[in-house]
Amino acid sequence: MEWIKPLPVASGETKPFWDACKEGKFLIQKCKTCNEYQYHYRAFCSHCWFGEIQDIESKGDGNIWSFTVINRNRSPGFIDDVPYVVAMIEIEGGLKIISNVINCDPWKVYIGMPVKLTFTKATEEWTLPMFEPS
Amino acid sequence: MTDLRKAAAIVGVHEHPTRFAPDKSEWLLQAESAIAALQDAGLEPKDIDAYFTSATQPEGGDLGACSSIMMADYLNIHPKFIDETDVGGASFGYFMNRAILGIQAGLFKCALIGYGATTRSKMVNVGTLGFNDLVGKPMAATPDSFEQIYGITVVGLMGMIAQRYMYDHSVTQEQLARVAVTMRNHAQLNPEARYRTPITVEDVLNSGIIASPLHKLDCCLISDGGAAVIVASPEIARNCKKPPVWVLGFGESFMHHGAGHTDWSAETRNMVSRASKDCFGMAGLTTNDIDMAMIYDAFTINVLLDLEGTGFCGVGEAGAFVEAGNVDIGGSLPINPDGGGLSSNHPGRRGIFLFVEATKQLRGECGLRQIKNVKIAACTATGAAFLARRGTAVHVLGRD
Repeated sequence: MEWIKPLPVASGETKPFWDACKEGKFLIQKCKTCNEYQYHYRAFCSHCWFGEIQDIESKGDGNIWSFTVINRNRSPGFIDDVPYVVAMIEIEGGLKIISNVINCDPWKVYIGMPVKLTFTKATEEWTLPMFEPS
Repeated sequence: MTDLRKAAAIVGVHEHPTRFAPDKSEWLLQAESAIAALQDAGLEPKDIDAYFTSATQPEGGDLGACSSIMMADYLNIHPKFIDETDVGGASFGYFMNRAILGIQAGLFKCALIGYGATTRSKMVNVGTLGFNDLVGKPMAATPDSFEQIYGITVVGLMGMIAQRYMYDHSVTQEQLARVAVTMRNHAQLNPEARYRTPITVEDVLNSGIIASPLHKLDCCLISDGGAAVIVASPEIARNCKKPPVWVLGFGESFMHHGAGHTDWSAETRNMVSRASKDCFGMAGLTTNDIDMAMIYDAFTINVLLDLEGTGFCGVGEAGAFVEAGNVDIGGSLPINPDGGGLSSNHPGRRGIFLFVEATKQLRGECGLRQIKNVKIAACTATGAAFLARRGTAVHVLGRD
């Protein structure tokens, strides 16, 4: 089925993140100098600025920190997709990741619900990280 | 720090009476508002030596980049100082702070803060579109690509904040709904309010989920509108047509995603606390001194978070505070007697209307909805870029 929702755009800075998604890996980052985690993907440590940032493959386990069931979105691709869940998932390092929670009844999602990483292949070029009940 | 208390005063205000103006541009709505505010002050265009305005493109009109020069050209004014700091609906609070600083520094003496928007005429669904569709720009690599692909909307953002807030503090949907009911009750006393038919808590809960836990009636309305505020030095203020409304204190603060570490719900409240601490510290006042408040009610949840952030009630207590009638006209802390953004006026960036209503209340010009003997009023406005990149401004205003 043709993907009619918006697709990401990669820059030189963010290309490694999206390339990893295609290989089924979800990259978060940790600074070798200050040991802080960060998301979304950047080419520098946004905590200490001077440290050496390194990519880490997330284990992909988390819990729903908060969520909303979107019941109205008039944008193309989403207008017929409601209701769907947008959530903040808390994963390792205390990171809160914005994502969709799929493969579940949107109205049965709750705060604290355990979820795990999954990938949705949108097109040949784009694979998008999402979460589903674990 | 320099004492900025009473460094400047609001000397003229106007809120355009329209809520639907398909035959007018947002440029004209602002011009009509500015003319009326100058007449309110008893000043003339040549007196304006600083100008602040906010872009409206694309949700509220066609005023886009370089909005302050473009509008100054249209208004044919040539102030020595301009600014268009953009914090969404809180921009006007930030303009006020910058106007006070410029007046205190002697850079200028009389600032016009102006706004106009035709969001309703343009039929823009501000809260229920993807951000890129709303602002009409293509997907960017950073940060859009990590967020917009998931279909988050403005109402969805506030839904997530509300969901977590309710989880943390056992606040109920009925308590959120009560905010909307109170605003509708107040709007019945405001002949210019867009919605004046009474509603009940049940009506709010039955109005349909837009983005859980927020229902349609938990969300502000969409209108066309305009407003203008004239801020002047004490010397000018004492010679204006109406008594000055002094800015006794101000504060501002913002939040963002903190590279994935921010508690969106608590930080929304904490940033209001930071701004309030500066504001009340400057004014030498406490929340006990406040007779009424204008709180930017883009959504019912915003009122609860701002009540707690400002310190009018403790963390987690705002739901019960509202339910007990405290924020009703006649309550211990009446808020938004005009009906707020939930029932009166919300063209997209409501912050400027808070100053207009608070000033008119302090002057005793509000007719049926006039709160008795208002001496000191507080204003809190929170606006957003997108998602939890949000700014807030807090002000305390008083009369002589």
